[in-house]
Amino acid sequence: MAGSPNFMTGSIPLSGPDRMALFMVGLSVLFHLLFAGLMLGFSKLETPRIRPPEIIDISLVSFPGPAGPSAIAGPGPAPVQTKTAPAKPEIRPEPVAPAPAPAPAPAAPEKIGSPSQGQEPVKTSLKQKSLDREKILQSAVSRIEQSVEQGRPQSVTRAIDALRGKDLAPPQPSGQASGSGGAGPSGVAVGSGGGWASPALLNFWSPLMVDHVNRHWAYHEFLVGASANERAEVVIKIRKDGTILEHWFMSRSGNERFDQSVERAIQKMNPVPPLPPGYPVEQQEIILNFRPPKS
Amino acid sequence: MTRSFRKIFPLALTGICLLFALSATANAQIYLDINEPQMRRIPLAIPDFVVEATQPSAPAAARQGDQLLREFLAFTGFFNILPPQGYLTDLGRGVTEREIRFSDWTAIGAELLISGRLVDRGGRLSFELRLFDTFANTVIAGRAYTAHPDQVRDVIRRFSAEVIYRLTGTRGVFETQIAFVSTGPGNKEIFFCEFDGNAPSQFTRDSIIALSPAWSSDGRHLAYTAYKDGGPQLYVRDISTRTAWNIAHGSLNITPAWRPGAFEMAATLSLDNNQDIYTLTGNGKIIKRLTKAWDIDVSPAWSPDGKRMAFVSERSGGTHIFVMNADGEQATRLTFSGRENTEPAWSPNGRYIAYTSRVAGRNEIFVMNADGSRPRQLTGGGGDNESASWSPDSTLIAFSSTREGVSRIFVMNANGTAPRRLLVLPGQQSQPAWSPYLAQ
Repeated sequence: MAGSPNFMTGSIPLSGPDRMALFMVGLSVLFHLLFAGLMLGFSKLETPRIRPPEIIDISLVSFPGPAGPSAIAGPGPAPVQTKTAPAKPEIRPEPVAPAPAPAPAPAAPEKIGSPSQGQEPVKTSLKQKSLDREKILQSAVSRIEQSVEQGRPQSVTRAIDALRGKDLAPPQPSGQASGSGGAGPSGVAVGSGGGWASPALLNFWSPLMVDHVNRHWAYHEFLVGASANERAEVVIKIRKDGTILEHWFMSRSGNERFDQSVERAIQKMNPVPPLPPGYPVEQQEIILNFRPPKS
Repeated sequence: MTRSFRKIFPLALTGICLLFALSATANAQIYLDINEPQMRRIPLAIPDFVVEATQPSAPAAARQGDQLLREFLAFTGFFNILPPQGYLTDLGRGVTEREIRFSDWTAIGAELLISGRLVDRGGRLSFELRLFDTFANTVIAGRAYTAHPDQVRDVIRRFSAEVIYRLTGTRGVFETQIAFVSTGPGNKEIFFCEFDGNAPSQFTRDSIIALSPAWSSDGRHLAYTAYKDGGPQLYVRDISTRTAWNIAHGSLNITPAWRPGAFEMAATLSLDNNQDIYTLTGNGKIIKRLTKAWDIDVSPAWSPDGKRMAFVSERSGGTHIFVMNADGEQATRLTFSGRENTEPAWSPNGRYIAYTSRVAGRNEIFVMNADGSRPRQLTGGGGDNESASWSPDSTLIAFSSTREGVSRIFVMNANGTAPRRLLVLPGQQSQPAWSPYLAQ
């Protein structure tokens, strides 16, 4: 009876080959569905990550100028900050040379052209130690100055001024000692003609000071971007106990990043090593010549 | 007057000398040279991010964010990330310049500070990140990124690039990748990873030996050498579509190097049984033969302006680094030490050439000025160190080293300091090639 219609169910009985064909068609459909599913799955594996929404990026800062290479310190026109000594000029003016006939000091009417004209507090302390001798000397100096002022060579004037500490040019950048004040290790120079009773102690103190500054100076050659010949000279005025009273740039490098690294170092290194025991002055000015390290 | 002057003159002279001596000591400015900074990285504090967002994922995102930021910025070699346990305070007072007490941060030596805060914004997280100069009490960079919690790495990468840009004017390495050769699959295939070794992925699946990956300067194509059909051929593959084509001239085609800013490359071919350097188009058409020496000339490396080229030659006896113009003229020898100097890599800033030199039986990485002066050894201490590749900002060098036994990819600062392994994968990894900037 195979192949004859079944009128009770309304279905048409299938013959053996028909069943096989239907089975094959079903198998084929199943296979195709499976294949399509696999392909879909593989395609998802190829792009495993659904792209998330874009990140919204908003600036919280508006800079006055164009977004230059460096906001912290760049070669651009950003204003130079002066933090600790805003009233100080960037390059400290040279002390004025003594006038030919300055006004006499109240306590010493004869003291014309007194060395204290520079108003350095350290000289006040020296006066207390040798008051009588100083009166005589100052008197002599004033007379000599009056008598030889016109004929004195300029070099002598400069030398005397220099010895008075009023126009003390720093030594050469090489850091070699220029005077007899004694040089410490390489790169340490003590200003001209020092006659202090214990220069050896100062020679001992100088490398300590250099090491102290170097330890507080954070410098990365790429971040700073300084060239080998750049340098910045900073004057710091310290008390005998090492407290930094003030500081100012005597000359800037021209590279603001470099100068700011120097500025931060100065701010971080306070206090510095105290001056040697018995140091004859209460305050001391130190010129720090910052140069990029050899790479 | 004259008599009294004569009487007092000797005493005055002595006194003057004494006065001058004392005065000089008292007023002399001490002059000190400072040129050996002992902090060669900038102290940077990154306290934990403040979480003000209410989303459950916010605390974990904050922890991931501040940790990633420390890792990313430390990777540059620019910063000394101060350990958080040494901080005197956190960001509880606030994250803006008005709220932060900078003296708390200068007191621990931090010159820079980064604050982070997470807040809700439109159902997503917003990362508010700011960079401060603690001594100047000023904000240097500030960005707000609104993102999903699974985008923390992208957010931190973007802000890290912003930090470096604000400090240096370059984007840093955060948007770069490194290609390298790995034997992990059983044969040498080319892999990619992010700048810090994260997310390594296999790029070639040719089941052949693939070597010497080289990025085009736009980051869109990768050229490499593959040993197919016996001899080495050049392959160029589009990185986004992964379509590839091969270049075969003669029996040997090796060491490709893309010309900066052009769809051209230099490579070593052997058309007359001699290895010489040629320039080719990206499609493989020969433009010009650059070297004609009877000795071997290989491994071209372009200067960043594309006007000159370093290469390896045996023309002078031994194996040495030479430079020549892009037209092949005016070849000049640069290395004179040792007998085997290979694999030149010209720094993207144009100032240096890194190379591999054989020293005491081991390969070591050296760097010299681009004119050949001041060669100095960067690596040492064990194993072979070779195949230097510069980061696009010229601050880092990737290289392969066997210092741990098997060959791995390492990264060091450009001055040779702080070498660190980039990643660990099955097999051995070698021949890193740092990509150009790949920012979207």
